[in-house]
This record gives sequence, structure tokens and C-alpha cells, in this order.
Amino acid sequence: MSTLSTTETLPDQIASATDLTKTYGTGEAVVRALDGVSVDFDRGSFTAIMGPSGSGKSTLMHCLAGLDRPTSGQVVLGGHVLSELNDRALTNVRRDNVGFVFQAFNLLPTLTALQNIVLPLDLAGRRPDQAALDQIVTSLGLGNRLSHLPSQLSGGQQQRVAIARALITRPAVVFADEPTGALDSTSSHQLLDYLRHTSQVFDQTIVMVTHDPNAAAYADRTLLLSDGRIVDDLIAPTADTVLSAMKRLGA
Amino acid sequence: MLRQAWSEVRHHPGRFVSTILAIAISVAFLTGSAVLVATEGQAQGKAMNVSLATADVVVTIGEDVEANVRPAIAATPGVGALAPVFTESDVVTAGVVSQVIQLVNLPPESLRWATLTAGRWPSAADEIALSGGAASALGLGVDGELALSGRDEKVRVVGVTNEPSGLFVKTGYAADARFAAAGYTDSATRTWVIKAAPGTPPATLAAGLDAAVKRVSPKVRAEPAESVRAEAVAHLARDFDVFANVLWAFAVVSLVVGMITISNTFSITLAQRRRQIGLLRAVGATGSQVRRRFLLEALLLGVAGSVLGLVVGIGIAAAETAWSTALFWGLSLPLEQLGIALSLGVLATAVAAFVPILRGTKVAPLEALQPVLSGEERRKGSVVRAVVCGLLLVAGLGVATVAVTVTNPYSLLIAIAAGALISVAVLFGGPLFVPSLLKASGHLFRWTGTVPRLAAGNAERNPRRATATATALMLAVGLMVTLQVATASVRLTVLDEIAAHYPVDLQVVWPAANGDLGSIPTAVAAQLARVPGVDGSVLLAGGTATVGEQQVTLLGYAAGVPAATGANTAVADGQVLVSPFVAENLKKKTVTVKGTAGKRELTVAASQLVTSDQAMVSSATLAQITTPIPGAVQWLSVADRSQAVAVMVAVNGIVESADRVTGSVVEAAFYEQTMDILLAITTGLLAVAVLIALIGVSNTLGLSVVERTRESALLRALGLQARSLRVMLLIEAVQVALVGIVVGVVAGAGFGWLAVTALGRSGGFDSVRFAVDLPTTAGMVGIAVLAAALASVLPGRRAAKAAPTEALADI
Repeated sequence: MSTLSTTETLPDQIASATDLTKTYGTGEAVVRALDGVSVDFDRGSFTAIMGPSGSGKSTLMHCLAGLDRPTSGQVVLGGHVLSELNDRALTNVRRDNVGFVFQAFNLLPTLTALQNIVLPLDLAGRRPDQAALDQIVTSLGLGNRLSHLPSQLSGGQQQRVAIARALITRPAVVFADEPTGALDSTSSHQLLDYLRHTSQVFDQTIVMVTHDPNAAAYADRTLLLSDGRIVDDLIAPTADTVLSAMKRLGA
Repeated sequence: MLRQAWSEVRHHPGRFVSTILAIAISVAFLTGSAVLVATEGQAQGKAMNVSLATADVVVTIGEDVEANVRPAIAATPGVGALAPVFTESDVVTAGVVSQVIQLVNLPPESLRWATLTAGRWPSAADEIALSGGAASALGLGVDGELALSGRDEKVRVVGVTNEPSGLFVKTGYAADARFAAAGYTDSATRTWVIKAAPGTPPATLAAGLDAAVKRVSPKVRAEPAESVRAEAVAHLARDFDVFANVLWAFAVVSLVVGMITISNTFSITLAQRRRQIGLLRAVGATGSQVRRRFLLEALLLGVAGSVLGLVVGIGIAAAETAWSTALFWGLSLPLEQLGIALSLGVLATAVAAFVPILRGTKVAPLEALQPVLSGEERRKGSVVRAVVCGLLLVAGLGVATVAVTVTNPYSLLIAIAAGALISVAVLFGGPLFVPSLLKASGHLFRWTGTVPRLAAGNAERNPRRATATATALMLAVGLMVTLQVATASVRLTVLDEIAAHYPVDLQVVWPAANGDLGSIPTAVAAQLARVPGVDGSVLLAGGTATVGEQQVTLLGYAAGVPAATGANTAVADGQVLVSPFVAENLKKKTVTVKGTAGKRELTVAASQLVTSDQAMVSSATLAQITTPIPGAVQWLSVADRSQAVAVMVAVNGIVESADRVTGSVVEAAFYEQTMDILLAITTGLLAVAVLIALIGVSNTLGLSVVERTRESALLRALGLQARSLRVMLLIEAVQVALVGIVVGVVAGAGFGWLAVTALGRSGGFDSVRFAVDLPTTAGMVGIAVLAAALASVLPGRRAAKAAPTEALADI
């Protein structure tokens, strides 16, 4: 496993991608999902990645999170150079350094909410820090739902359980893929508020893929992707600035 | 619609492989056994009438007619060669190997069907040639020597031919001189074979000969050999029908297990294709159109599987008959039975798929277009099912009680009926208890770690599917264990009976060349006493004497008799022990026993110790009646009768002639050998059913893995190692398989006990012993569990290989 130079024990840059390219297919049917993307993420930042379908935003997230291997380029996450890791080591990196929240199907249907939350720790053979667990559960309002199965929880509750699971390992980065896509507006607001709160107060780095400009407004930075390339980088985005940027894309 | 169905099968072959496999295996079994039995039967028929093999015309003389037709035949124009046909079956012994040989007379050159591979043809009465099959069975070659049992005659092998041996028949060739010496004459001949002279068609010759022989006697007829051969083969094939029916019974069991597997498969694939079905309905297909399409798919699969099974079955039969050399006589394809096998395969697929298709296509168009969580069906067992199965179970138990408590010649049939009732109750009541068993076995895993816990959770979330998988295994394993337990119990019971009735395990004698009593060489006696498995030995002195009118071997009681036989009989000086049969016939209380040294009047006592041609007195009395030959008879006690075969082989090796050994162990050994072969064959046959059930396990797992792609991807994303994922699937497979296997073993043991006890009640045995052949049963369970684990390998690899992103992509 390769890390950055030993003098940087707590890098400000928690994750970075350099010249990432991901292609599918060969010859005439080649699809360039990512075309030479380079980007850095600071610790404690809340970044939104936006773009139309086919822009490569999900692919970028997958490569950053170690879920997929880019065709070329380098990803450094939490001090690990992902391209140099074999499958086993990469899996362990995901387990210990990454948190995931997806749009749906986040939870294992045969486990209770509590078991779902501590699943990454279980897989690592570690016991959760009870204080940390209590704090996360309380702050997400899940205290009385811990023994329920996912089928007994509402959509919003399921997403909150997913967030709890993502945070329990204190990961380098939390990756959220359209986390509010299946929620109503109230639940969406609550969830995004919580994410912003976590990134600001607990220094948790969050990268969120979304298509909703209102959701992007909760982030402190928005990247716009189109055809596999970063075409815009907005600091302190608002719904309006994001919408204008997206309109420019279409032009 | 046919094109649609065909394209479906063509584009997603993986889905259908297991269905095709299940059908193919069952049909291969049906086909293979039909072709095998037909070919072996045909070979048997031709081998037994080997003398007719090359003839053109056959003359048959009617029963009770003695007519010498040789002159009439010889005088008919067109006759090339003629010969009488003599056959004789004999048991021959070469060293310790005994075989049944059919001796035929050697016809003139043009009528021979085999050629020499070594040596020459026999000419003298004490010479024979052996077919290749007989020679290898006896382990003899040219210049070997054979003893003909029952006649104290020895013959010399002078040649070996290329004819293989049939399953039961081995041919030997003897010169006419031998048969003449045995009294076979032309007038006593029943069959003549004739070769037509070149240029004469057999049919014409047959007509001419018929006319000629009818002039000698109206009860003689001449026919073309072709029709006689065909008739002989057909005649024997009928005898093989019983054998064929037994094989087909096993094949049908495999078919039933296959149907359970197919039904399961269709349930799963239809659940997976809900979107496709919903789409069809949304676009405007009616329910019945959709159903018809799937039924057509099922039929196509049935046809594909059956045809595959047919080809494989014929191949296997051909391979077996090549090995058993029956193929030498030609492959026989019973077209009618093959047609039935094919139809059964197609029908079974259609029937098995019918209910799942009915259920699976009842999908509202909209419902199927929405993304669905992997089916978690917590369907409660229906009350109706519980009631029906409960009634069946009670009825079955009641009938079973009758079978084991009431003495009745039909007890076994009653027991089988009880077994059938209980089986149906258990198999159809599966959904009522299998989920609970899965949950219970899951509890065992809860303490051992995350992955096993996940596996246990997965196994019980689709109870209906897990039940169907386990049920197939229950049926197959249950039958196998029933058979094993029944056989083991019967074997032990029969061995006990033999022991009870014949206390003498092994008796060795050493007759002199002229047949008189002789002494067993001391070295031999010592060696015999030391054979592993022999735990007691006594040497008895003996002499010839007459008891009343009958000549017997008179034995002298020795102190070691109780130890060597387990019978605490003693003989007083004034007594004579005779067999119960003889005692009954004597009707008197005393009898005169006379020998070369004197005679005594002795009291008769019946005892199982002696056979009908023996009697026993005290050693003092023996000396008064005859000159005792020391060590004339040796009795050996065998500690464990289930070692009978091993002991026999050792003893035979020491005494070098099977004629010197008798006793209940001999009977027991022969019996055991037969039982072992029978058990091996039936276990092998049932193993086919178990194989199909295990294919079902692999299949269920594979399809549920596909359903759980998102979950597996999620687990991988969260940090589950690929290997751990495979282990998880392995545990799931083993868990479901174990439930089925354990229930099968328990039920099988129960049914086995039931069958044996009922047999006892039907008057077969005095007392019944229950035995489980632990090594075999445990071994079988182990193999089944291992196979279930193996069944999880392919699905596991597929699940672990998928990159997490591919599976997480939106549907």
C-alpha cells in the first residue's frame, strides 16, 4: 500500500483525481465516460457533482470511491493510491475509509436498522464506539427504530439509517449518489441539512452526485460535468447560479 | 410465438441449463436402462443359442419324439454342412473360482461362430476349449485344468476363442466325443443346424428340408435360422422385463425429483421476468397469450432435454454393453420404450412448469413495471395445507402401526402404503416445517460471525423456494436411506437367523482321494484357526457308521465344541446326537449305531449341531463303535458374521478347494455378497435422483444470486471481500441442503425400520434386528453436503466477479 510522503500525516486534500479517463467498448463504439478529469477535495468540504445524463458524474464518483477502476489516471483517497491496490486491499480501503449513501436499496433487508448501521464495523471485526454510535443515532432521530427491519421503515428513515452507517466508521469521504432522489421535499431538506451540518461541525468530507439544483445549493462547491469533462466549478453555489450554469451547458 | 419462445431460449441459455439438465438426466436414465436391458437380453438370447448363430436352417424335433433325421437331412439337395446341437450347463471350478459354463458341441468349420485365439479345438472327451469370456472369468489359459463339480471329473483346456462372455452365460466347446461318451446320440438330438451349400438360398433349403424331415416324423420341422434366432431372443427378452421394470421404477423416482426441481426453476425465472411479463401485458397481450408463450418455452425445453437425454442414455448403454461385452451381439434399440421415455420427459417438463406458469403470469401490467425489492415472500402456510397434511400423517401413522403390530402375510404391502401416506404428508407439508428448521439451523450460525449470520438470514427469507429445494433432496435422500437401512436390517436379521439355525459357522473336511474320511493336515488346521475373524476352533475325530439304516459320519464330541459353536450341548456316553430332521424320521427313542469296531444302542437326542448326514457321540462311545480318524472335521467359529466374505476368501485360500468347506458362514457369505451388489446397484440408481436434487440446489442458489445482485454489490461496496461473499453463498447452499438431507435421513431410517418390522410381521423372520449401515449412510450424507457446497461455487464466482458498480447501476 502506498501513501503520500510521511511528513503529511493529515493531508488537507483528503482525495484527489488526476487525469482520470474511463472508456467502454472498442473501435467505433468507444464511449468516453470520463475524459481526463482532474479534481481535488479538501477535508471537511461538501461538494456537489452535477451534470446531465451521460455526463460521467456517477462514473467519477465510482472511480473516486474505489468501486470501479479507471482506464487511466490516478486516484488518491485518504492517503491510499487506489490504482496500486489489489481487489482485497481495495475492498478494505472501502470498508474503512469510505461511506456510501445511494438513492435506494441502501440496506440489507434481512438485518435490523442497528445491524445495518454497524455492518461495516462487523465486516472489519470491530466493535462500535458506543458513545459515537449513540451520538449519530440520536442526531438522526433513529433511537426508537433500531430493532426494525428496513421493510418496517419509511423511505426517509431508511436513508437516515444509511447515513448513520456511512458515518459510523468516520470515513475519509462520504459518497452520496442522489440521496434525496426518492424522498419528498421535507425529508430531502432534513437530510441535506444534516449532511451540511456534519461536514461543517465534524469536518466530514462529503461528495454528493445530484441532478437537483436545490440540493446542490446545500453544498459549498458544485462541479459541473459534461461529456466526461469538468466544465464548471462553482464556489458557494445557489440554486440560481447552478441553474444558469446548467443553461449555459445546453447552449 | 414459437419464434419468440425460441429466441428467448437462445438468448438466455443459462437460465434454462438446469431445467434441461434435470430432464436430460431422467430421460437418460429411462433410455439407458431400456437400451441396456434390451441389449443385454438380446446378447443373453444369442449367447444361449450360440450354436444357431451361423446356421442357415434349423431343424427342431418335437418333444417326446425320438427320430434320427440325419440321413434325411444329408440326403436333401442343397445341404452344405450339418451338425447336431448338444448343450449342457455345468459348474466348473478352477482353483477357488467357480463359474457356470454352458458347454456346446463343436460343429464343423462352416457352422462355427467363433475363432481360436490360442491353442486348438478339442477332440478327445476330456478336452474343452473356452470362450474368451469364460477363460478370463476363470483365470485360465491353454493347458489349464478344470474340475467339473458334481462329477469329480477333470478336463483340460486346449484352446481359447474370441467369444466374449454374456452377463450370465459363458461358453465352452467340447468335442462330439465328449457328448457321445455322455450318451448324446443322433436319435436323442433335439436340434440340428444346417449350412446351405453355396448357391442355395436358405428359404428354399428350409422348405426342402421341411418336406424331407416331415416324412420321418410329423413332429419335426425345419425353419430358416433367422426366425428361430429371433424367436429365442424375444423369448428371453420377456424374462428381462422384470429387471427392466425395476430400473424404470428408479428412473421414475428421478423423474419426480426432476419435476420438483423444474417447478422450482420456473417459479424463480418467472419471478425474475416479471418486468418482461408486465411489459407484454401493458403492450396488449392477454393473460392466456402470455401463459401459452411460457408453456411453449417449457415444451421446447422439455423436447431439448429429452432429446439430449435420449442420446446420452443410448451412449451410456452402449458403453456399458461394450464393457460387459454384450455389444458383441449387437446393440438393441427398443423403439417403443424410447418413444415412451421421450414423451415422459416432455410431459414431465410441461406438468412441472404448469402451476408456476399459472401463478407467475398473474401479474398486473403496472405492477411489473415498478422496481421491486428482491422477493421476500413471508407467506404463511395455508390452513388447508396444514389440515390435509395432518390428516395424511395421522392416517399414515395409523396404517404403520397396523403393519408393525398385526401378524399378516401382507404386512410389507401395508407398510409400503403407510410409507407412501407419510411421505406425501411430509413432502407436501414442507412449507409448514422447513422454514422453522431453517430458522433453527440459522440460530447455530448467529454466534459465529457476520458472514454466517448474513447467510442464515438469506436462507430463510424465501421460505417457499428453500422448501422446494430441500424437498427434492428429502425425497431422494429419504429413498436412499430407506433402502440402505432396510437392506442393512434385513442382512443382519437374516444372518442372525442363519446363525441361530446353524450353529456351526464353518466346517472343514479333508476327504481322501477315494472320498473316504481323511485327517486334516495339522499345519492346515493351525492356519485355519489363525485366520483373522476366526475366534474359535475345534478338531473332531470321526469315522463312518450307520445310524439305524442310514450311513453317517460319526463325530466324537470334544471339549472345545461349545466355544467353537456357541451351543452349550454336551453328549452323554449313552446318547447320540442327530439332526432334528433325522430325529423326526426315526420316531424311536433309541437307535442302533453300528460301525467297524462294534455297535451300540443309544438314546436319540436332536441337535442343530449336526447335519442330516452326521451324528455325534461322546469320544468314548466313538472309540467303541469305529476306529476314529483324528482331526477329520474342523469346526471354526467366526466372531462377526458380517466379516463372512473376508473369512471365506481366506479359508478358501488355505484349503484350496471350495468343496472342503461348508457351514452357515458359507451361506452367509454368499448372501452378503448378493446383498452388497444389490445395495450398490440400488444406491447408484438412487444417486441419480440425489444428483438431480443437488442440481436443484445449485440452480436455486444461482437464480437467487441473480436476484440479489444489488445486495451483493452493496455488500461489496461496503467492504465485504469477494471470498467472503463466496463463503456466504456456500453456507446458504449447505444450510438448505442439510435441512433436506437430515429430514431425508431421519425419515428414511424410519421407513427402513417400518419396512423391516413389517417383513418380520409377515412371517418372514422370528425376530427383527434394526441396523443402520453407519459408514455408508454417513459417507452418503457427507458427499451430499460436499456436493451442495460445490453447487455454490459457480453462483458464488459469478456474484463475486461482478464489479460493484455494474450491479449498482439503475435498472
